[in-house]
Amino acid sequence: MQHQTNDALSRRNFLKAGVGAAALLSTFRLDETLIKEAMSQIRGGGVSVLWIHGAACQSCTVSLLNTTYPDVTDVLLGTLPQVKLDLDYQTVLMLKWGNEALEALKNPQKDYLLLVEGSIQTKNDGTFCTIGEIDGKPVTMKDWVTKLAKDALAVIAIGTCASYGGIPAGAPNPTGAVGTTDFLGTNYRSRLNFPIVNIPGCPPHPDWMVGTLVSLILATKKLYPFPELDSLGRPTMYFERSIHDDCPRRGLYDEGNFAEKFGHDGCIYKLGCKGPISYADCNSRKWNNGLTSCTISGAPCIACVQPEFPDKSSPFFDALPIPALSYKEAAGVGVAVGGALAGAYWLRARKEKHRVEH
Amino acid sequence: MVEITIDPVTRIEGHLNIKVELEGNKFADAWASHSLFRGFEEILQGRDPRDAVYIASRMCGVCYTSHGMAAALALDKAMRVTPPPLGTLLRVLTQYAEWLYDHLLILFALEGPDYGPPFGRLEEFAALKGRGYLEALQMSRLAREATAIWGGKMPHQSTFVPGGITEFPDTAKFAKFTYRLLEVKKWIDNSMIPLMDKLHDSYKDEMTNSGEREANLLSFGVFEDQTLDPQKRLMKPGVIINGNLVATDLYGEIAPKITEYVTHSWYSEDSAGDPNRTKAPTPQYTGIQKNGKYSWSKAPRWDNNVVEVGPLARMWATALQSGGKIQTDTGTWSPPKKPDTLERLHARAYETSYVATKLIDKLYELLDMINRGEREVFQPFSIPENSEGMGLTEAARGSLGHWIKVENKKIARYQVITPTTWNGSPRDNQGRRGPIEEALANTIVKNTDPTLDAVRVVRAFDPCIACAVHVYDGSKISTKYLEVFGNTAPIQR
Repeated sequence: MQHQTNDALSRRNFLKAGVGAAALLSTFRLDETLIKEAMSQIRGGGVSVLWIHGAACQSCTVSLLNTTYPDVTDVLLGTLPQVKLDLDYQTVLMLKWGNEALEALKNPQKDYLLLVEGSIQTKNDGTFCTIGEIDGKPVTMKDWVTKLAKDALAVIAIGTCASYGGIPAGAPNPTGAVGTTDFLGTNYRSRLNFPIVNIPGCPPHPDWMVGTLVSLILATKKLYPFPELDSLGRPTMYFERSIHDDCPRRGLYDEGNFAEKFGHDGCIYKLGCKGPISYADCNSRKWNNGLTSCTISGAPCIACVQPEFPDKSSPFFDALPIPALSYKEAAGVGVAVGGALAGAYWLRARKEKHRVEH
Repeated sequence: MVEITIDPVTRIEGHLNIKVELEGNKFADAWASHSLFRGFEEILQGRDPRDAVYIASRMCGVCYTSHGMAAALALDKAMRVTPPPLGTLLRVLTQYAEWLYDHLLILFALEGPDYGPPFGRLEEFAALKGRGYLEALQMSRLAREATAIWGGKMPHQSTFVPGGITEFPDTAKFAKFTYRLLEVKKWIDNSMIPLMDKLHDSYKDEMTNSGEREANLLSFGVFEDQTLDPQKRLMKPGVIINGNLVATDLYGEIAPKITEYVTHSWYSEDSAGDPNRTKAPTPQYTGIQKNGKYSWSKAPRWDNNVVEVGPLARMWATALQSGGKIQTDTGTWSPPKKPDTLERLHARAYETSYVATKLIDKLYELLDMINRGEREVFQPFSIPENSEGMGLTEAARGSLGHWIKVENKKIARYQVITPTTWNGSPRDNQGRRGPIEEALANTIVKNTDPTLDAVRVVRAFDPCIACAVHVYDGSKISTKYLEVFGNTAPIQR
């Protein structure tokens, strides 16, 4: 891809060369490296962030507050050396309100990152969601995104709704809700010629948000390459491996030990887990300060990071229509076969329009 | 007379447009317009009923655990399944812990900054600077971690399922949960309550009539014990009209008298009628017309009364059923003369302390249960051909109800009434204002910027707009509706 440099390539090759736990460990280290570089290299204060909400529940915002190392106050205050997000617009957290708040959207004073949370509703001229009034007339979310995307240093879709449409776009999609890429077009490029970065998840893990933002801050200052994205616009550093690959119950799956009901030991594949066809590092990173994850807690993965969520990853409690492999079948070919089956499953479901070309 | 529009109202959840008319030094009138509509009920129709537990709980990114609880209660009923006692207890423990995270975040990150510099005089409440603000962010995160221990991940827990929960409470998790709870409780007792008392005392002379309205309040009650009898919940169900407790029986008296109006909402007028209809009404956006339609929220009323929901309503209803006061580890709370802005904040703080106090007892219940040999957290079931269910509980910000109707093993109808549908409602068919509108329209302006007076009033209700907006037609939920959904008596298990 065009934004990748040799550095990034060689790093990736190194990663690819690693196997199993070693590869995982490297992923974590990469993160820390990025953050440290951000800390030491950025000078000159915060980066302006305009974070607007469309058809959202604002759980992405609440999830950001879960961040640890760095803590959210570190991120907002810049107590980490020089890494600081200035939330010049953020409905839930910002200090100002009314016209004063709206001014940040009407006349942005600084170069800004545009963060979209929630999907963008297109039916009925977007009147399902309005933010503020100009000359007594409510302004639609749709119009704000169109206006603000023009000048943004980078556009980041926060959460599955903003990335791919999410639940508001679930059938019958009553409000014509779409993700940011569908709305702005796959050819959209920001002022710095960046494609839209998707950070899906319902909600996304705070590390995915903070880490991606840090790498984008560095990229906008040309201090670090633009993060590598997969074909769905997601940073590969977080969304490369499947939930199934990293699941602590993976061994039970390989043994053919399947739970017949919730709260019991065994792989929860037969209870509806969509882990094999979902790509995110939930199970190695773990949630809420490293406590747990959906499948660790015995709940089925519902593929909330995938563009097909919720329509094609449901019924959530029905087993995937691809066969579970026995231990013998899995031995030797497990990962390859699993990957191929998952690919085939999504290929059937996937809409080509979601693909981001870059 | 000056008309002032406040849009966006920030430091709340969601999209809210507030209009007030300023006459002299008083708000003469007010309009609350919810400006986001997603159509969740329509999206839920036709799906596998079990999936509602994941989709419906995602209506709100703040009170998802309570939405998950309401959905799970409705689905248990509809799937005709009773969770094992351990399953119920783990759900309830998670909901208790949600209160701690939620109230802390609301009080200090959303409401508190209005009382610290540059808007107020209390340094501790200043955004990104004050001790209260900074510590509350940490403590709120810690409480959220506690909810994740039986929740899988937060926001949006994955472990609540119809028939129980998926997580087994091993000792390591018990320790992690207890540690976090005790840390948070320590902060509540030693820092939060003194800070909130200080705020109350510091502003009580200045804000005498801010947000004042009559004591017309509603609580569904929350935190069930093992009997699942709503009357035995920690926070009691109850309706208070003009300061008097007029109803306490949740399924017998309270639920049957709920009515919704769409006169001033952006929905078709013909949506009134037979509650058995499965078709949702057509959204009709007209722009904001103060004398006509002006909100995506509907106007629910109880027995034709405009009632307020939230911590103040719950504390009040509970106190009137427990000898007139509520005792926590940090002090005693008794009902004020009338609801107003400061009393709403104060009740939120004392409820946090009360819930933390009682959560400790609840942990002993968990130990007892494990020692008794309880091991199952989930009861399997098969989806009935046709059925229905109702889940009435409370979210941190007020009364919450989910209703489901299943036909041919699919969702035929899903209906939700959330706290902010009550508090943030537009006018009803008789032109009576919703509670936030009432509270604004009584307020005398004390600040040079009148919008500060207005946002203090609004934020004290802890509005949550995302969940408040739904398509359900229902001009009436009344008795007729309840016949459809059964549940006219307490659920017998």
